[in-house]
Amino acid sequence: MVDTTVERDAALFAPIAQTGWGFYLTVAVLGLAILWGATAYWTQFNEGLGVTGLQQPVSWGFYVTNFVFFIGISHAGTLISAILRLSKAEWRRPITRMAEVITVMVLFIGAGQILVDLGRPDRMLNVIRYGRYQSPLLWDATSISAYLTASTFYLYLPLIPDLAILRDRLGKRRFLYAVLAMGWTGTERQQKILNRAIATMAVLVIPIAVSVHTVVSFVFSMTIQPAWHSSIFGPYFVAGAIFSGIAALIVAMAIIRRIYHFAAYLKPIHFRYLGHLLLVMTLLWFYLTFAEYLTGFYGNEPEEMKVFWSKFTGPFWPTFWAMLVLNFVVPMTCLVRLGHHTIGKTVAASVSVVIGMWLERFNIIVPT
Amino acid sequence: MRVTRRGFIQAVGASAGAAALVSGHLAKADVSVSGLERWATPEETLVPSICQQCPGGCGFIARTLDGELAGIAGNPLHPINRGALCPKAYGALQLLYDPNRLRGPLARDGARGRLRPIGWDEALRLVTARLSELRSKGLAHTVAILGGQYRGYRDTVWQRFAEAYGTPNYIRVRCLAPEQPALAHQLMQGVTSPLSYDLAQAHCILSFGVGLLESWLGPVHASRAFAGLRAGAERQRGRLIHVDPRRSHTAIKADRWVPIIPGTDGLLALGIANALIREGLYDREFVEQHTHGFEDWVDASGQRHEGFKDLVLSEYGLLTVSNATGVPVKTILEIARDLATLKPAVVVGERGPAYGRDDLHTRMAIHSLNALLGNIGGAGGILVQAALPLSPLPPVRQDETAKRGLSHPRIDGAGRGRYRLVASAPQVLPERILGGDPYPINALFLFATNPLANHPAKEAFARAFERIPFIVSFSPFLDESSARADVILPDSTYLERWQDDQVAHLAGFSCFSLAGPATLPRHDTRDTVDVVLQLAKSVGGSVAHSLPWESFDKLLHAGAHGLWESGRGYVISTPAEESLRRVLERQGYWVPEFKSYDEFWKALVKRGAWWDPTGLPVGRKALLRTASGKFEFHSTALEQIVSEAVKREGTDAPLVQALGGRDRGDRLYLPLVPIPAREERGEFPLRLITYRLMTRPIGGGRNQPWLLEQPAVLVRAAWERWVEVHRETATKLGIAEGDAVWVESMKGRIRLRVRLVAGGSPEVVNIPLFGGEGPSQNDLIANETDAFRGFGLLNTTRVKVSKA
Amino acid sequence: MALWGMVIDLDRCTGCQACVMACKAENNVPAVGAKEAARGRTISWMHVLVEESEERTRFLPRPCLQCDDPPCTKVCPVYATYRNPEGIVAQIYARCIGCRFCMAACPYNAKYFNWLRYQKAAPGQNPDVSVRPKGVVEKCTFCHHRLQKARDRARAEQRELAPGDYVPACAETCPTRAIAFGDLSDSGSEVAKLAKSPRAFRLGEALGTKPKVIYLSETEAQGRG
Ligand SMILES: Nc1nc2c(c(=O)[nH]1)N[C@H]1C(S)=C(S)[C@@H](COP(=O)(O)OP(=O)(O)OC[C@H]3O[C@@H](n4cnc5c(=O)[nH]c(N)nc54)[C@H](O)[C@@H]3O)O[C@H]1N2
Ligand SMILES: Nc1nc2c(c(=O)[nH]1)N[C@H]1C(S)=C(S)[C@@H](COP(=O)(O)OP(=O)(O)OC[C@H]3O[C@@H](n4cnc5c(=O)[nH]c(N)nc54)[C@H](O)[C@@H]3O)O[C@H]1N2
Ligand code: SF4
Ligand code: SF4
Ligand code: SF4
Ligand code: SF4
Ligand code: SF4
Ligand SMILES: [Mo]
Repeated sequence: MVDTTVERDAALFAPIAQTGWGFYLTVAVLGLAILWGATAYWTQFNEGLGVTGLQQPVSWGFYVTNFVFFIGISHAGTLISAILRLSKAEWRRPITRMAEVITVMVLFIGAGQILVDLGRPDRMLNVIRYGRYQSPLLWDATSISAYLTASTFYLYLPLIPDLAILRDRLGKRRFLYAVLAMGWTGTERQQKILNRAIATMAVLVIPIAVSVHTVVSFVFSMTIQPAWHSSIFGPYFVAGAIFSGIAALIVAMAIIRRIYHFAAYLKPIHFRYLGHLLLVMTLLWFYLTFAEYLTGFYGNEPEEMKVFWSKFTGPFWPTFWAMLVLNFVVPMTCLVRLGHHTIGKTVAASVSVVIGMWLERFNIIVPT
Repeated sequence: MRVTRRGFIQAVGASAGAAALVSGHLAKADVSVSGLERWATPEETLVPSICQQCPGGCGFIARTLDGELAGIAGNPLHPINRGALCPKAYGALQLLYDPNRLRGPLARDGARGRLRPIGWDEALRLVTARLSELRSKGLAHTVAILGGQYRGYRDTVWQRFAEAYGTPNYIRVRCLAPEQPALAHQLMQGVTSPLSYDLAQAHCILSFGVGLLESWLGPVHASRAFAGLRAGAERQRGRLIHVDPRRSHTAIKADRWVPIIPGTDGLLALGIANALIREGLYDREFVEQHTHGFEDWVDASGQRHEGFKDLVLSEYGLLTVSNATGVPVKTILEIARDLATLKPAVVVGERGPAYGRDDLHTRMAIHSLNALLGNIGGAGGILVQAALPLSPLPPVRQDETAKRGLSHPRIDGAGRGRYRLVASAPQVLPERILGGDPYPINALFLFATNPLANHPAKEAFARAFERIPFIVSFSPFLDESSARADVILPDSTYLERWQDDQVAHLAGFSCFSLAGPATLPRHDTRDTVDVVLQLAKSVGGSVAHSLPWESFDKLLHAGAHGLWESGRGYVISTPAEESLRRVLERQGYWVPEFKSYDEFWKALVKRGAWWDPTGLPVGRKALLRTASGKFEFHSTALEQIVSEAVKREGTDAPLVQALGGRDRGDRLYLPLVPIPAREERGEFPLRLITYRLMTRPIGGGRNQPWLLEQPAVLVRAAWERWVEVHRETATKLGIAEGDAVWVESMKGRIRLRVRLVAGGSPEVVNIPLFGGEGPSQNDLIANETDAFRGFGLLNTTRVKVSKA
Repeated sequence: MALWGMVIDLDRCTGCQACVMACKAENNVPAVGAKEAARGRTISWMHVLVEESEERTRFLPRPCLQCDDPPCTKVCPVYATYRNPEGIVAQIYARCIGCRFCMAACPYNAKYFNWLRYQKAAPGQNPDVSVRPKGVVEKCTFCHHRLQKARDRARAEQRELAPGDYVPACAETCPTRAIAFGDLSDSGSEVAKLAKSPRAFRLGEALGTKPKVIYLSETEAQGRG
């Protein structure tokens, strides 16, 4: 019985069993990329943030944009899969894990951005030594680390059975898998506990995820800068997060489907469902954006309007309008009728949204 | 004695941050004394000094710790600035520590431009040898001394050196000589000491292009007067009217800004005169009793002469003036009414650079308004200053060689022919040197001036330099001119040397500032005065005898003795004490503060200045020193000069030509300017104005980062010279903020970044004098001579602007 | 407890920048150099803004407004900027982690960041003020060190701190005396009186930051010829 499934899913283990030159090449390339980044950061660390293009009065730039963006993506995973799990959407199974992995990885990147953006990373510990809880920045630090731990568990728990399988089937790294599998044998009792654990985590992780992004938005809305000081920033950011999250997920799915030939597992239907989800988010996002700028426009505060026009017609018009097209026009056209070329269309839409959302974060942060 | 110490300590207290006097709490300043002495740690010293970044002569206090400068603050006791300073003052810190300063003497090493370090002894030997050689050959007169911006005993020393050595060629390069009376004042009032404008008491100030709040004779002093006109001041709000083609800070702060076509100020003045007379707004009483040449008149020989009044009424109608100046008739009328109603009103027309081709008559025309307003000799009007009672120095002794040398005419021809009226004519120097006319120049001394960069005739100067076999520079920096020198004997900067400043041109008082070195020289430099004394000694004979002091402070000590003897004035101290003394003085007591000159000197050095707050009795006698004893619209002095010129030189052609090439009728002696024909624009449609930024120090300010980084607030600029173009003009030319453009004149073209400005005439572009990077505006300035300052006309150049 | 404040008379201010340079000299604020200045990184604790409008142009010197309800301190994660009991908003350079959150929060752009190591200890600096390292935020401190000095002096003379003992460098140097400084809580003080003037206004009143730097507007619109 067990064997049959195992046989059937051999394809899944293949990449882990024998790693081809392709794998090592990718690792090498990525390794170099990382090295390059490290050296770049080293110069910044020595000379000071000045080596970046940042300046007065726009003292927050790409780093912070990336931060918000990646944290957003991170919602792909855990949040989505959690929702789907709870809503017992069966088709989700092949997707969730991927989603959860994305979350964990991306969270690290996101958090990293903030550290890189500090003028004095060497004094990072001051945040603990002199921590001051009135500062939204600390709320960030807390909720993000909470989210990180939560989603790591959430990724890990469902992994246990599979790790066990690997332990049993694979010759390689048996010890490692043994430890991680924590003596999983798949008894009734174990199953029960595990499922309960997963269920509770699923419930836990949702509020945390939401909190993370609300707090991130506070970083801006708590200031009294024009076009930041706004009450819908919370929901706006969360929606945006899920929006970009789903998009990212779809892209990832597509890629993995390609290289590992998982067509059998990731079927068009998955893409269609997620596509619909994306479509819904598109509409929601547009609605919120509209509301955000409309209130700004009618509030008609001179300062607000300066920013407003700088985005609509001023120096920032390219990014602003590009954002609108990529986040709304493109996905709409792609997603309304998902007859055939489902995958192609959804992926196209997703790519465009991913880029679009990055621009959105940029538009919020830089022009003010 | 206590009084002295307290006075000083208060200065210190205030300067060190507890600015007791600033907010006018005098009582407590006394209290702070004891504590301060305890507080002041031994290594901290506070030395009064004098700012030399402009002619203002403000007093400040240098704070040093173990000899290193640690900050400066205005001297709260100093009557010129009362504790305030302007942005330039703080450049002193960076001037002193400027890494580009010369470390010691340099000598030419082969070709011109190549220099090698040498010791002082060798350097001085080189110069002495050359001086003695020329002297023994009877060529003393072929030594020329070119001096820049400085006053007081530094001038005296060079003067004496020239006279004793035997050269008539001590030539000053400058537009303003605050220690001398303006020519217009000499000719119309016959005064021999400078007049002053009582800005602080005036209720209405009309300025013809005088950079009151940015440049001129000291923006701090002028700004304090300006503040007096403003809301919140004790008196009712006064009025400032500023005539300026450029929208300067002064223009912006003025209650009325009058943009004008550059060079037409004389006409505007006559237009205002016309309005004052036509509407009967002028001071009849004063004009009838104290002026000459207002009405038509008949001289002793029974000859009829035209008067000012009729000519103004008949020829300078408001429409004519309005057309020529670009100032609306309505505005001219309103100015006249302001002047007549807001009394006392004073008119200032003594800007540095020339107004244009008819400079002298323009200045006379402007000054005649003061007569029409009858404000001469009255508070809030025109006052005369007391000459400082400094000890007369022993007469210069001249041997035969010196006498022979001085018998030669000046090489710049100043005092003769068309330069009959000027003391110096640096403008013509180059061509005279190049032509060896009337004789070649064998040695040139450059002191505090950089003609190769700043003079409109810089190219000609550069060529002339190649003709001079021996050039000595005293500059602390390797500027364009010094780079071509054969020997450089670097001067110490003003914080490192003894200084004095003689301010006799500010209303209400005369003042003598004195300062010892605030710190030791940072490099192997020497105070040029000491060097000159040294050179005199080595040349020996009568030269040595005429400059007997072994160092500058000895000379200052000798000169200041007169102040102590004069039986008037005070070493500056707290306003409290001063007002007390003034009360006593009004009752006829003058209480000597010091028992001995030694005490006096010590106090003077410690507090930084002596002044006579009572000034002169503001009487008209002292102000009307003309032959007629009246204010002369028709200047008999000028008439006399012209006829003398005829006697001496057989012709008046050059002088008359210089005076605007007019017939020798009465008009030549009246403050009248011809109405210019509208000049057609040709291929250079724009007028170029070069002006002084508040942040630009004299001395160039080449390497004072604070000032270079934030040179202006009206335009976005840093570190780099720029050109200001009117928005309209820019749009016409398709030029945007920050674009690089070519500014081109007949003479040449330079590449600058554009800063857009609004207001003023679209036909005017401005380039600031600026110490930072960027090509020199003097590559554009046409080399037209202003016959009365012997200087280039600086606002007549026409240019065009094109995208680069 | 004193409440230090400043009143700046815009009718008097000529935009001369004496205050700007005095501040640089007093507080060891470096020039950042041509390249950095071009990137808009010039540090100017006191900055003279120009307000242009149809009827008039005016100069508006802007130090840190020392808001009594400062948005900048609220967001600092490490207490590196805070409002002290006398209302002065202080910076702790040694603690600042350079997140620049406070800069984002200051509606008056009164804060400046040391993008690079601009300052090296050099002769000519004021030993009473510490030199800032790279990566921290700095701003006008109301010349707080002068208050400490004035206190020490007063103590040494066994007396209370008197008005005029403590005057910031900018106020001390202003040629038109446009800057008045003193204790707003002392109703008799010059600043307290001026603050009540009908000409008095605050920057961004609506933001509720309660600046302790108060401006006096000009009375007459400037005439034009
Ligand atoms: N900050 C500073 N102050 C200085 C100096 C300095 O270098 N820097 N230099 C000193 C020296 S050497 C001198 S000579 C004086 C010069 O003192 P000023 O003459 O006061 O100074 P400028 O800036 O040359 O000119 C003042 C104003 O005249 C305007 N102007 C130009 N042409 C005309 C015109 O035809 N008519 C009218 N009405 N206005 C015109 C200019 O736009 C400018 O705003 O300044 C002295 N003070
Ligand atoms: N286009 C244009 N050109 C002008 C003017 C203008 O308005 N427009 N103004 C003209 C006027 S009015 C004048 S007065 C001249 C001024 O021009 P200059 O006579 O050249 O005087 P500065 O530029 O003040 O300083 C000249 C030199 O003095 C030297 N120096 C600085 N400090 C010291 C010191 O402590 N000791 C000594 N020995 N030397 C020192 C420096 O090397 C500097 O290069 O410029 C004239 N040129
Ligand atoms: S006005 Fe002139 S003398 Fe006075 S501080 Fe400014 S630069 Fe120095
Ligand atoms: S010093 Fe005074 S007048 Fe000059 S800019 Fe500052 S506040 Fe204005
Ligand atoms: S930059 Fe420094 S002072 Fe500002 S918020 Fe961050 S840590 Fe606090
Ligand atoms: S002005 Fe800006 S920096 Fe100063 S206290 Fe207010 S918010 Fe903070
Ligand atoms: S108060 Fe002190 S720190 Fe603040 S601007 Fe004035 S001088 Fe600079
Ligand atoms: Mo001059």
